[in-house]
Amino acid sequence: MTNKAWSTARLGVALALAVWASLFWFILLADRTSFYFASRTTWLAPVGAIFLTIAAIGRLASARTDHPDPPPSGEVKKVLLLVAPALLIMLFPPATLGSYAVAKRSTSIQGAYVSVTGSDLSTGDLSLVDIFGLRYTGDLGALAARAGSSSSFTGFVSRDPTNGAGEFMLNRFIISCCPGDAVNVQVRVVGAPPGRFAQDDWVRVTGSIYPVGEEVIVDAAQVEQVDRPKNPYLNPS
Amino acid sequence: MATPAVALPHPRADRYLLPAAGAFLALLIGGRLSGLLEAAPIQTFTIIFTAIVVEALPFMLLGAFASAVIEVYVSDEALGRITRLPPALQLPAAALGGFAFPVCECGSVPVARRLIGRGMHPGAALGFMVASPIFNPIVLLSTWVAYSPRGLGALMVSGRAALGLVAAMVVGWSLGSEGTQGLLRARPGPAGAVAAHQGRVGDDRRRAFFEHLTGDFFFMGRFLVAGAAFAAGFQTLLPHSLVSGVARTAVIGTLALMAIAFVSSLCSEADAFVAVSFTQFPLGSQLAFLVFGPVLDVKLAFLYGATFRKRLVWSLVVVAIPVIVAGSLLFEALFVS
Repeated sequence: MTNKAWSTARLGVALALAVWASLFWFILLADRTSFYFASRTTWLAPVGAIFLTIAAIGRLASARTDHPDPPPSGEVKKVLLLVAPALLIMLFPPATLGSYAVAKRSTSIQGAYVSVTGSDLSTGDLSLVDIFGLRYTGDLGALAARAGSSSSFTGFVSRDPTNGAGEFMLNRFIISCCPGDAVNVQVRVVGAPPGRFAQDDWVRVTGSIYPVGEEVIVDAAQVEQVDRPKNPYLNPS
Repeated sequence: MATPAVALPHPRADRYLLPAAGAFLALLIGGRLSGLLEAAPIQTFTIIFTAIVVEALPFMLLGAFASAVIEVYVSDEALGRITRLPPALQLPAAALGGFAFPVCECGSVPVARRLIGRGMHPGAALGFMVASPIFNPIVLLSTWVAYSPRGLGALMVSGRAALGLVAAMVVGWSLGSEGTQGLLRARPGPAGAVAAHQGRVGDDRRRAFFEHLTGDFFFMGRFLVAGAAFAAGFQTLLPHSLVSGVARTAVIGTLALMAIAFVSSLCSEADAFVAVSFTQFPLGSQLAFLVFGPVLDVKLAFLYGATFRKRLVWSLVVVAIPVIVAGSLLFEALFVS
């Protein structure tokens, strides 16, 4: 009969796996999937949660050994490195890309990303995804038929040097997979109360739309501050 | 025969474990309380970094599961059946065999070594080594998941599979003429590099399974974290407009992403989520990233160096780079432009 003892190294690995499993369960149970996954990749959250849980339990169950060596120093670094992203997520309130990222990220994307044509938009509600699609296809002029009609958009505020008083850019990020591939869609809002809204404030703007050159201008009839939406990122149609 | 995994004793490690963990947590909490970690650039970096890791981790784990199943429950003889084929058929059979034996790039190196040792034609073993981390169901599924929301799933999956197979065949044909003696290093590589993939400890298969699974997971996990950090830093600090000029030049963009693939050393089961984030680069360049990374990156250079003679590593560079650059440019010209 052999005397088995717990291996610190294996317990450390089991703990790291448990941290990650907990994170995936946390994302699911706290309804935070929209912060990390696009609508078409949300299935990864339960898959990750289940497989990480199995791995953590399996490692824990096999953590008793005849020769429990202390963890090699490299093992400690590996465990810390791998749990760092999980701790970052759990220690901080959920954040979304904002005005800083607007200045850095592209407003265009390679490939057939959003398929929208002008004829799709002759009637009905207009969304920021539609506007992105029209910009991508170079078909923004198709909105001319709707110039002056009323639309409503929700997004966050950013400012650029071209904004005059009472103007700001209303933005929303579109993700196809995760925030790593986010692209920005924005409209220029004019006629807003000057100085009332700060960068990154979430607002709903209702007003008349006018396509001008490569951008859409919204002449605001109403601008109200709102909470960040439950799904802060938009998904391509 | 597989070398048992050995956890090298390090008596000082226990002493450092708690202080290191404590310092790390203190750093995070201090940053949180001071508001430093909520500064816009750091927050943007954190959002992109964590999102890429969270998205890619399940695929890396699935790959580790598959690799552990093969390592523990599939005998070498099952792979070795290819050795009974005529030499001319061994290479294509071995390259296509990756689909049935989905091992990641780190797993494929010791497997290739074992296959050569079991009598497989060296070219066929090299073909398997290059193809299996690309032409395997988990990798192709993750590529599909990453690109299908943009309507590019089928294009990128077929492009990756095809270019991966072509690269594997060319590498196998051109480098496999070396005899076994000219190919393999005489001595085994560093224990740490190889042990992660050789988890059979004693007769306890369940224990061996989880040994291998977690070894793979942690070995690859650090590269995923580093690669995600690299991608997030790249996106946080460099304005797309600045990069776009370079990126839109097909050859330079392709070479740039291949260099990033080499440095970031991502696992092929998770790299599509990083590749898809390089939105300012042409799709052909992203394809080069997806094919070149599993063939040669920093971690593989270490593994190759521990397994093969140095000349083979340089030959691999000379052969693989032109094939992948040409293939990705052809892909861009034929299917994207």
